[in-house]
Amino acid sequence: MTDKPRDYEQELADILNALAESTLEMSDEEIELEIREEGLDPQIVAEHVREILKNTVKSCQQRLLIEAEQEYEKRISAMKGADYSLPESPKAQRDLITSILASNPQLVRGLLTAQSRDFNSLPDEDLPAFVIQLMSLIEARDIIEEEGAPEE
Amino acid sequence: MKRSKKSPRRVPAEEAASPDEVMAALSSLSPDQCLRLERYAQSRVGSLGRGSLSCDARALLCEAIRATCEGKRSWHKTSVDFFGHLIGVIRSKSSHLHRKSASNKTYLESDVIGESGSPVENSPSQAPNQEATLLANEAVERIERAVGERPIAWIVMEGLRDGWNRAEIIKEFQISGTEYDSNLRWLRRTVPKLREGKS
Repeated sequence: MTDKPRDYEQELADILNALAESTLEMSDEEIELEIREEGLDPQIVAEHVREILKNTVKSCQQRLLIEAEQEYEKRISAMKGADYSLPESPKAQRDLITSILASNPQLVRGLLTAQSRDFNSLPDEDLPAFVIQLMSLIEARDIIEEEGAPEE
Repeated sequence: MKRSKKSPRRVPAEEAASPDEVMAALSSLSPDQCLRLERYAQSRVGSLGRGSLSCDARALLCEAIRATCEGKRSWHKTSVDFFGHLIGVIRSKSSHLHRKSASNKTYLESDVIGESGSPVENSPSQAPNQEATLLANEAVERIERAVGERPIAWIVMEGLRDGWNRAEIIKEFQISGTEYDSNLRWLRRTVPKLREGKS
């Protein structure tokens, strides 16, 4: 019978991993003692850890927000670039909005914000963008009805 | 402490914690839990030796949080507490780093920190080589020689390597809690130095 050669790398990893895992079983006092033996103040270390973790979350939140804003801008640009023929006068634009909402009640129920539902209070200069948004919503809904919802 | 079997990482979106919930959970961690996280990350990074260059305990902790917020390792808040989740992510990230840095190549910072800025994810992948094996051989011999001079430390180290917990080691080898703790403290302080060739 031949002896299996020792796998020193694995043995070393096992020793170090075992010592790392022992951290989870140490008492709070033992952990504080170990930190003090390194010349550090446990209270300051704990605060520092919490701070760096919180800062990481904040930077993630910020990044997610920036990504969401970029996506929003992209969609708005795409909407603006869409070729819709709009009536010119504000009154005709309001009539068109009323007509779109009347024939698409689900938009009023589910998709529009409370502010948008009160479109009568929208200033004239915001009307074209609102009409375009409505048309884009209808277009998107029609595509979904035709092709099914996109997969996540 | 026995570790539970691996569970699937995929967490249903509605059960995964949002960054706001992660932030709230961070605020509710006790100072002792923060210290334990730091020690654990420190020990896991320490076990990587030269493979840990440019990835310190702080980087490992940040990476665990980043992975949680970005949904790469979602926190399944109904099945595990936040502290337990972070420990699991730190363990898995450091194991990943260990597998990738199993050889003895000298790293440049630019090798390790890639586009995503994550030193853990971007570490170079290499196959083990003879020099790494030789270094490990020497390190194990240094550790065995030094620990062999302290019978209780030897027992503790071997017990831990076999996956035994504190209570099991104390009971099986009939040593006191104080003996266990002081020898474990010595091991935790000394073994990383022996591994690097210091005493």
